[in-house]
Amino acid sequence: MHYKNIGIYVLVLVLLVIGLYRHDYVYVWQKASTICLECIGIG
Amino acid sequence: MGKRQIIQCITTAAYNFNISGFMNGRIFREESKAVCVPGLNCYSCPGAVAACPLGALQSAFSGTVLRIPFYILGTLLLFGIIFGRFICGWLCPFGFIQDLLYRIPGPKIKHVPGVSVLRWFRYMIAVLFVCILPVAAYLISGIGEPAFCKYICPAGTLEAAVPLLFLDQSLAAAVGWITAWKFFLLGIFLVSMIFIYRPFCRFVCPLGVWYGLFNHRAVLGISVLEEHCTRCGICHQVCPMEATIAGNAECISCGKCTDSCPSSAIYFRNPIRHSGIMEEKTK
Repeated sequence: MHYKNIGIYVLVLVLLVIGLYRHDYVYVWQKASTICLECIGIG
Repeated sequence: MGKRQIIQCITTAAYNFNISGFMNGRIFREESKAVCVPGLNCYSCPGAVAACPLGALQSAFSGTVLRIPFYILGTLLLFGIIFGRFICGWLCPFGFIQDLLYRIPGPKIKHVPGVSVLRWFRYMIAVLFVCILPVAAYLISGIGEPAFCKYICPAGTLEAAVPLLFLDQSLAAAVGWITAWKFFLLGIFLVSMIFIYRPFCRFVCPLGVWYGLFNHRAVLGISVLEEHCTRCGICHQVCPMEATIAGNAECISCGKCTDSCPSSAIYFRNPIRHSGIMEEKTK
């Protein structure tokens, strides 16, 4: 394993922990579970 | 059918196993939609059971509240450092569609004129449409917009707009100039995919840009044993992505170069067998 990769894994962990703590996944779910006409180019 | 095609089939099916959605036009709404898949697969596709990472990132920059998407950035970073562009070659449904279209018999453009310049186009698309335009729209109007999804993404048009317009007649009333533009763009991409190998991946896809940043250090990918390499250039000749060096940011780990290398200098990095291969190759 590249030693520089360890820093990236730590960053992954930090970002995921912050994201999960802030319930970011709820926003992802809300967006992904409704049809966004604008997003798919119907408009 | 090779190992890669089998995995591409399984991945595409796994991302889109909500079969009933293709019958009734209703999209999947379970908890799995809070999780991003590594490849480009529109979450508004009636079959999609998880979120598209690019769509999720864009959605964080759209709407009336601008949020730093920690969860999505962490997920994208994790995918990048584990898989790199192995995702493009093996785990992306839209890449699979492009592979299938390229199999249609006909004249093929193996060496795209100006490829070295065109490659930079996707970096421009990524910065402009994924970062600058959504934030600029928010700063100007107070409402951000998913610019890449809205104006460019052919995966969203093909996987979501086409089936939804077919299944839900009420959506026809919402069709306007954006739809016309997106269908025009989709048509151009689909036709070019028959003649050019993966034009979307090579010249447009922002996910490929991101994963390419990690390609040389990802757990999975292609590496070259410098001491075995004779600089014969065969790897460059056989590479469908026209990568100048095996394993660089263009490489999608399709494995054509590993099969063609006369000095066996190119190999798949594998976390389990990695040390064994290295020992064997250096003997």
